[in-house]
Amino acid sequence: MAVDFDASAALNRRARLLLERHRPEEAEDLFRQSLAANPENEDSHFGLAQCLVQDRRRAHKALEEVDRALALNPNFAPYHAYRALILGQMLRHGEARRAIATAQELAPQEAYVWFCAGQVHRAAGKWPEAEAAARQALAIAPRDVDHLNLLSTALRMQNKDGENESLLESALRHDPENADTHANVGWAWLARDRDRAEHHFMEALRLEPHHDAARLGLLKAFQTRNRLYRAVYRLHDRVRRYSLWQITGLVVVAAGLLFLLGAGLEALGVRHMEFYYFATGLALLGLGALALAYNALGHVIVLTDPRARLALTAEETTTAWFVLLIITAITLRLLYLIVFG
Amino acid sequence: MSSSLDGLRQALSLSPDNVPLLLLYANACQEEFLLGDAQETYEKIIAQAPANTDAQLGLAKVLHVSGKTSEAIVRTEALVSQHPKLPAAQLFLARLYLADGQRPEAARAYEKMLELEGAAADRALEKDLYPQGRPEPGAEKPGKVALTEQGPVFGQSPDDDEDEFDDDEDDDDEYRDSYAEEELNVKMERPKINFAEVGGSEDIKEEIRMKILYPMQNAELFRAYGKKMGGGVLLYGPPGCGKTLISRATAGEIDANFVSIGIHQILDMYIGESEKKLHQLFEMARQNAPTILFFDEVDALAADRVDLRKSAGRTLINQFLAEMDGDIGNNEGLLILGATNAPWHIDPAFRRPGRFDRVLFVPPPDGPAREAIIQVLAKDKPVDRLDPRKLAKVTKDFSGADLKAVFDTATEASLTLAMKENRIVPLTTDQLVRAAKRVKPSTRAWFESAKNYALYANQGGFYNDVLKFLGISK
Repeated sequence: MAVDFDASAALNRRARLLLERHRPEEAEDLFRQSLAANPENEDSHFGLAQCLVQDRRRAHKALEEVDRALALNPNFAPYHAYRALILGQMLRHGEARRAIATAQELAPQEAYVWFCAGQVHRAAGKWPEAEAAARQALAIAPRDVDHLNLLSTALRMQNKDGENESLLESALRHDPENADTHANVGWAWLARDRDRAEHHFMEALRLEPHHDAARLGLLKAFQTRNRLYRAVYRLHDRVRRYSLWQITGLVVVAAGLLFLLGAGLEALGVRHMEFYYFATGLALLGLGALALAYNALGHVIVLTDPRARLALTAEETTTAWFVLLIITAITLRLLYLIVFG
Repeated sequence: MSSSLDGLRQALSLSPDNVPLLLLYANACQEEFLLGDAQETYEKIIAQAPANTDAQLGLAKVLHVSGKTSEAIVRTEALVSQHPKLPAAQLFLARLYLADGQRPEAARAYEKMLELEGAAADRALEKDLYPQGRPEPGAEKPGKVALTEQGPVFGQSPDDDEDEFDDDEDDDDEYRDSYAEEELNVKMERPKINFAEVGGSEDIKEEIRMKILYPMQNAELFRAYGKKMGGGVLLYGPPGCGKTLISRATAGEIDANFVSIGIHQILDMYIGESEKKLHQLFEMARQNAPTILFFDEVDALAADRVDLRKSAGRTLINQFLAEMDGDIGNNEGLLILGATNAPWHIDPAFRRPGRFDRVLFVPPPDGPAREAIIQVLAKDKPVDRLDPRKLAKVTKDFSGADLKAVFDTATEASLTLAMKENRIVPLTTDQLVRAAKRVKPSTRAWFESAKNYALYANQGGFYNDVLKFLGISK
């Protein structure tokens, strides 16, 4: 079949227009037609990847398309950077880091590449690295609010609240209509001033009604109206800034110390140690259950507020009802045991 | 920097709203090629004194020099239509047409200019216009073929005669219509369908009657209250719920012309950067009023300019706004209907008064509407004792497209059985009900999206109908 370069380029133009106008499905059709006219058009492969990635379930297909674009133009840094973002989305963090390193080698002065590097580290929970990449991106493009927001998230996750606040102030000054900035301001204030946080989350959602970080923040603001949950949230907020390995290590050390204490008490001849071990085990199990069901419990709290529960997605609502059902069943069973022995 | 400009600036700092001074300054900027300043100043003058023809002409010249010839043409055409006896405007229009490769149009504008009082011939332009010498006035006229840009020679139209030449304007309209129809690949039609043929959806039909039909049918009454007939109406709702059908039926109800512009024609306009094509389209509609201009997927044409920061197309959006406002043509009798599944992607400027200021939510078909659709879908199929009401009951929130999917699913099952038994196996209501259980209504995904906009971005109560439909009270 003859390759039709003109037709392929014309189709790509139309597809790009559709993609810019939030019509990825229609754009995808045109990119595929473009590839039928010229299978070696790297721009069509890349455009197709951009369409596919919008549906998380097709991220692997998007990766295949970026790889095809890269096979045609292996030295184009933005393709490597985009590949890294897709890999990060697929939780393949090691490969994502390697892809972004290649992009950085090819284009060390490209702010977009550093921004993508920051996103890759962010997805992997590597906050110091995310901070460093965001700073590098800002050094190249200091007025970019996306870079500021990335840095803000990295700072917040490392408890660098002072610098984060002044950074967010500056981001809001640069672009007061940026949903990301409002969401970040909301998260920064959540633990200290719930009303202010709620206002910024609402503002972010007004600007971008599908902003998930803002919606989750708003949910958290609703949930922390409950005092008990607020205390748990503060604890959770402190703990989640550590990596999974650090938390696991902390729990292992704490459990070890508790059992050493038990052994010491036993050696001193303290009686009824079985109660001690039972209480310790129960406390650890409870903590684990709380960690697992932390979000779902928050959703259960939100269910009681008819207005706030509108912020839950259909899946979250189902999970919340399920957890509520389990809590009710356990409570009824306990009541039964207490009343009837 | 010239000292005269500095002097003008100083004078303006003392008297910033002095129109003659502003005009002097703008002209001086233009001469110094400070195009941005010139444009800004002309726009300021027009804002203060909209009838100032010097400023309008100056702005068009700046636009042309800046490479925005299409926009300059549109503006100058508007100026000429408002002030047909202004030789300077006619002359500049001729220059613009020529620059844009429209030699016959240019010649026509130049000849019209020469007929005006106080007009003087422009020998340099004449040389460019008529390389083989200017024909005697009135001898021949530019022919139809010229509009296809085949060449500069006059009189190629096979049916030229003196009488037709006198009737030049009518011919012009015809050319314009066919030009717009050909260039944009659109067709003007008079739909035969009316509301009686659209089953169910009585609420939406009543709303259309109140918001569109009665104002158009009682134009005089509306005029008495200082209101104009026409304007813009935005229909939004989930896909496949009959927005296009309702628009057609609306045109049928008032016996108006109907021009439908789809996503592909819109993309064509973006690719051609053709504000002029859009203008021609509106002109065609205006000249054939009452006309309904129906823009399907209007969010693609009226896209939020914030989303398009890094891409072309904003001038086309500005042009669309100007056309809707009636700045460059009389929109009396012109109704602009826009349909969209994604009203949230429309530039907020389009919702201002005089534009899409009337909004209609087109929900999924109600029970009677579904029954009507079911009967239509069953028409050419072997169906045994169809109970449309029963099927309509189990297909709540289904769009027309979803109902078609139900029929397709049931037909497949029947066809498999028919091939096994080698006889026609008719579809039954139970079979269709079972198929309906396997098809998920596509409108749910739309409502998931719309819910967020209705909850968090409901400025001016735009999405109140969505909230009402979802049973959410705010």
